[in-house]
Amino acid sequence: MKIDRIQIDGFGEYGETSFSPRARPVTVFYGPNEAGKSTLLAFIRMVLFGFPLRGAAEHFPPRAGGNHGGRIELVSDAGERLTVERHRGRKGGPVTIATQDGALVPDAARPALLGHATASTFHSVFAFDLDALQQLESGDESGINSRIYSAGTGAARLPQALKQLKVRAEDIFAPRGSKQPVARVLGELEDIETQLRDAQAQSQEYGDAVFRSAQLDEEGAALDADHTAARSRLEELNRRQRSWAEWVALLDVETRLSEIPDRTGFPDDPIVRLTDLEDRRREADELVATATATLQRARDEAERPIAGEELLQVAAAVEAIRRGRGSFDASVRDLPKRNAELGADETDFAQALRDLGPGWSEERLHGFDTSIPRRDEVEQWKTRLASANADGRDRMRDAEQATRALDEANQRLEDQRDQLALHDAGASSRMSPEALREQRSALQAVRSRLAEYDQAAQRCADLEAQAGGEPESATSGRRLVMPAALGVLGALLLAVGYVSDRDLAILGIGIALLALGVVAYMLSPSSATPGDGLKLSRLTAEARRHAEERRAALLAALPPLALDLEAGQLPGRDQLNDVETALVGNEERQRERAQLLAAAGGAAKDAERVRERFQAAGRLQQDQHAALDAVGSGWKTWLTEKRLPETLTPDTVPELFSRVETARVVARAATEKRARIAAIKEDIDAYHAVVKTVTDGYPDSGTSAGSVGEDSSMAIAQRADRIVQRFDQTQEAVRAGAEAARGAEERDASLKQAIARRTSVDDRIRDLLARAHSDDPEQFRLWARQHLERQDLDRTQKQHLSALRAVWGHEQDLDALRREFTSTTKEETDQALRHAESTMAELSSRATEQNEERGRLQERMQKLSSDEAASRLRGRREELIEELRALAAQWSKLVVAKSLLVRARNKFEEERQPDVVRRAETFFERLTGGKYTRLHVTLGEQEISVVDEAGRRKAPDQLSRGTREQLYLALRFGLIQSMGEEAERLPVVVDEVLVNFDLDRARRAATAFVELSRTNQVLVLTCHQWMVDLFTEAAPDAAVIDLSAV
Amino acid sequence: MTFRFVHAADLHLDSPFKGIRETDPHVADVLRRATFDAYARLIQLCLDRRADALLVAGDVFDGADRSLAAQVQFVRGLARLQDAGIRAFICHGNHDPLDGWGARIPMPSNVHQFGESAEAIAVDPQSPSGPVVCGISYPTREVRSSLLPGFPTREPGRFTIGLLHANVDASPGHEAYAPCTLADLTATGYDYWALGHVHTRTIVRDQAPMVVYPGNTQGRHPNERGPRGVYVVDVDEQGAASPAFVAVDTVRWEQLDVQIDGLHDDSALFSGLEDRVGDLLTQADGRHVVYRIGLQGRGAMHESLSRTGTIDELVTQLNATWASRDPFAFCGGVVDATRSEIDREALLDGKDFIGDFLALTDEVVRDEGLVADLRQELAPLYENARARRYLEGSLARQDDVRDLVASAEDVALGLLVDDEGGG
Repeated sequence: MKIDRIQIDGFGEYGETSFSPRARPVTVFYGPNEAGKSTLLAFIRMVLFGFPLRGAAEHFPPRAGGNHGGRIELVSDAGERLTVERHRGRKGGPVTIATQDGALVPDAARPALLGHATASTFHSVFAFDLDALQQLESGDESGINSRIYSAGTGAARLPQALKQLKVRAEDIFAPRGSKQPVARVLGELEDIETQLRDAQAQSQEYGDAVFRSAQLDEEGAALDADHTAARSRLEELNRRQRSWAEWVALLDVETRLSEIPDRTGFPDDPIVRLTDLEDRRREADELVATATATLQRARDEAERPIAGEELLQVAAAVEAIRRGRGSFDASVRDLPKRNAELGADETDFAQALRDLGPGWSEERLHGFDTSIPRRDEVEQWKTRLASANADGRDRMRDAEQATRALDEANQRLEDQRDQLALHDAGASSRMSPEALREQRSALQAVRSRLAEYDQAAQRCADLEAQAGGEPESATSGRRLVMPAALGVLGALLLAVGYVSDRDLAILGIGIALLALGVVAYMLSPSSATPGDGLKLSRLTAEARRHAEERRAALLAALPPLALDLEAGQLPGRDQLNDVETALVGNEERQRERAQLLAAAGGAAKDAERVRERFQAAGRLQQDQHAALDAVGSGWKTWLTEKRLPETLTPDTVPELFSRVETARVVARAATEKRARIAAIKEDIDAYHAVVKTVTDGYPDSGTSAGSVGEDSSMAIAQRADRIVQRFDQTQEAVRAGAEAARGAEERDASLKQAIARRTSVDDRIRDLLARAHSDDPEQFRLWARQHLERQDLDRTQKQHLSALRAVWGHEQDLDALRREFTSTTKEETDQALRHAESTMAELSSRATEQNEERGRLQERMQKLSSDEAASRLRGRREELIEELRALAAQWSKLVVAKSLLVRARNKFEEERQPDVVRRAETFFERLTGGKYTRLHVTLGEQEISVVDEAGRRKAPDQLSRGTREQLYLALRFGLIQSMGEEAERLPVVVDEVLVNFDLDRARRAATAFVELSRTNQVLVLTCHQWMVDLFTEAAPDAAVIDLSAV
Repeated sequence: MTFRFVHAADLHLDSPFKGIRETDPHVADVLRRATFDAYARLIQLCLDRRADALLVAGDVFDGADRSLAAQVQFVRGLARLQDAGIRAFICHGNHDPLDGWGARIPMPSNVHQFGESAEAIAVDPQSPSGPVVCGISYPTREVRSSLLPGFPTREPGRFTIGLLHANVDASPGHEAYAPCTLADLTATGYDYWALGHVHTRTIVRDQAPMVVYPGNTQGRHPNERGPRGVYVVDVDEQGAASPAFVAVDTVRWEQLDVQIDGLHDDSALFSGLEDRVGDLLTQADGRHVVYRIGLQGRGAMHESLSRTGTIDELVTQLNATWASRDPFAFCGGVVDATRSEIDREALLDGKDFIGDFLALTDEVVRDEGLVADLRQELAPLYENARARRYLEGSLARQDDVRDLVASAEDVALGLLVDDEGGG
């Protein structure tokens, strides 16, 4: 690829500059310092590979203007013409690569077009300056060889990357490290493993505990069996000891039983039963005697005679007297009280009649009408009278209001008239409205004439001044100012009017100003032809005449104003203003008087309307008085018809009605009292008649005798009581006789029962003795005592046996038990018991020990089985393993990355370096004039050495500076040619790279560049003429471009 | 007659969760109890469903260091079944072989533990025509041959269940213990093969004889995702078995894969993850969730994620929000497989060192010699006497090496390539 043309739009000191270097052999750009060599080198780098992303200071901003950037026209190795264009922008600046026909080269094809070189590669190998060349000698721990390859292979960061990977990997794990995370995790894991082994031991302990627990269960079972047997023996001995006394007592009872005859079948409780029967025989004898005496007494009682038995025949009458006795007493007590109440009612009634007034009797009282309709009539009269009185009051109030309104209206009318008189008195002179209008018209005429005169006089003065010889250019310029100003102002107003929604007012003013401007321009002297004197004189004369005409017209208009002026004197504007002020004052006073006149007229009309209302109110009041009189007359007629006093009003008549009704109630109460007293007297008389009939009909009954008179209520009451008492006594005597007769029958039956009972007792005594095979009570009693003693012994024997069974059990065989007791003694039993108790205590102690051990085991097993420590440890172990694996993965990634980089570097060196070195070797030999014939690279060591003609190997740092730079230059030539074998051959651009060489070395270097130009275009930038000469000497057809001429 | 049994396997009681770093105490406590809680749910399921029998197809415990607590809890659960009159049949697998350590805890009388010889045991000893369970336990961990030859012949007319811990048809991802084929199992004529060993539930054959793996009862590491449980199997009058899966797990493993392409900052990533974590909890049906995040793709986020502490901070934030809830969602780790935005293909086309480097990394995974060399370079850690046992199998697969080389390449490129895209 070769650069055919460089077009700089703007870059550093270049603006719109172009260069056309030659394809070959060499193009030398010559110019002094600051001529732009470095700028040109940077331009080529940046257009082809982009602006640096960092370091804006190295962007060479365009100081001579132009778009920052430009284009380079190229010819590829295949002969295709391309244009690379780039300007400053994002991501290194947008770039386009276009073919000759304008087609854009796709992005994917760009790397191949640029020889698959990166910006860094191009910078270091193809387009370098002395600084870049000398950087190789600075070196670092990677060695010069690594640096040169890195510079050309995209591995500039390889040494740092390898170092960083190594450090990062060792930060995670180092085989002998103890502080790295891997070591820490492993340490913790080992601790956990140890703890888990301990946990395993706990599990073993749990297993032992389970085994021991099973052993304990077996031992416990055996111990339980022994314990059961011992307990059984102990219980047996305890029973024998406890029942020993029972056993001895049983033997005694059985001995006594054998000595008493057995009387089986003897009656139970024989002595008690015999004694009881004998007691009953005696009780039966006593009962028979008592019944006999009682029977006799009952028979005597039943046969006794009864006095006054005849009263029983009038039992119904006596019963009526008994029942009426209470009512009779009540009537007697009630009669005086009722008489007193009647007297009070009669007194009240007499007072009620007096309260009603004269002329009232009981008959009129009951005949007087106080019904609801009558009351309604009174209410209607009341309403009518009240309504008539209310209307009268309303009319009265209306009349008072009308009087007050009339007074106020008259007062307002007087006030208005006073104000008008005051106004007229205050005005010194008063003009008529017509005179005012005439003076206003005259003033306007004078003002118009004055304005016309001023305008005409001004034009006249202007023309005279113009004719007076002022310079034309100056005066025309000033006189055009006014028309121009009017025109501009008019145009502005037109524009504003148009913008302001076509405001007609503004538009009108604008048009007027424009017209004024045109008129002013037409009238301005500048519109006249400069130098036309005749025309100017004519215009001036016309103006003077016009002014005089305006003056005459002004003077003619002055008289109506009556100004204080000399003859022919024109009024000043101040005078006209004074006239205006006076005129305005007169007009104002005229308006005020008109308002006062209108107010006075209105007040007079108001007063007239009020007076009419006052008169109407008076008429209404008189009508009302007549109506009220008619209603009062009707009311008095109504009272007369009802025989009532005329003094009553509708309000007092209802009260009279109430008193009438009250008097009627009192009269009815007195009537009812009289009827009640008559009824009471009838009841008393009727009772007296009944009592008298009975006492009179049965004088022997003992009821007629008495010391009280026949009409005395008390005597009647005493007689009635005696009759009733005698009747009751007779009835009681009859009932007692009947009762005694029934009692005698019952006593007779009781006597018979007592005799039968005594016979029954005798039979039972005989039966009891017969059951004991005895006929003698004493013998019976002897045998009975023997029988009872034997029964007691039987019960005692059973109790002893029962006690023994309670101790030994109901299933216990009695014969075996007898043998048990008879086979041993009490002392032997006590001794055996003590031995058994000792055995039991020993077995219980062993059982307790077993239980305690079992409890401890259970507790331990529970603790072991619920211990979560092992679970936690296993969980933690997994967490650590996971962490270890993550660390291992991270470490592996770093180690493998480093390993792959090292392998790639070695492979790269093996496959590429020999070709580079071989080519560099040829160049180096030529550059050194054959002094150094070989370059040597030890693979993997990344060191280069040179071999001189004597076969001595030297490291770069053993070489002179010039030789070292020759070596670096040769290495670059080798790289350039090697890369050119596989990709597009990029142009080589060098900036002053030969300045450190002596003349011979520089000449050989120039020759080497010319040789390189066979494959790659070479552009040389220098400020030294001798350098130009060297290249033109090495290549006579080399092109030289003088930068100072650009 | 009809009858019902519960088929479980691979309880791995008291085994720790794997693949989690640095749990907080609350979460760790739940995870530690998870296998026990799942077992408790299994026992309760047997009681609730009034099962006739519980069948456990091996790996009740997790290994040679089987925990004492696991053994005690296991026996207590079986004792509950005994109280309810439910029988239990246990066979042991490679994780809890018969020669493994045991605390000699006596089993309840309702439990039958199969020995090293296959035998047939009636579910109900009083029913001569009732169902029979035939099973065998691993005498030792390494059983590399089929155990089927020793199984009894099916007794005609009796519903016969085979209980076995085995790898059928060389199921990938599982050790080939007691290997056998589906044809072998079918040939026995049994009615139902209750298998264990494969942790993902699988009905290998869905018609008589049914061959079923119920999976483990509790997922314990990132690859054991989703519901875990047992099969409740109803057998009808005609001897047809109908298995129904019931989840008994208490903690659920999940995976959140996130593509970083298009993401530009940590907050966008965090926000997206928050939403998805909430979804996980909703889907877990009231269970706790432990999830792992897989970050993938190329994008601007790669550089941020590669910085030390970024991922830890992400995990901390997520767990601060979700791990303290009940039920919680705990982030157990992040696998960062993101790549930088570098245009690898363009660099590979380059004729410079980076191009050669990328060509070399492409070649590495195809060159066994190079892989062996790389393994050798990793030996100082992976063959380290202290670390070897824990890292065993970490780089066993070819994919592991490929992933490692890819991530190493990414690290190297990050160090080599500058902002301009060149070296």
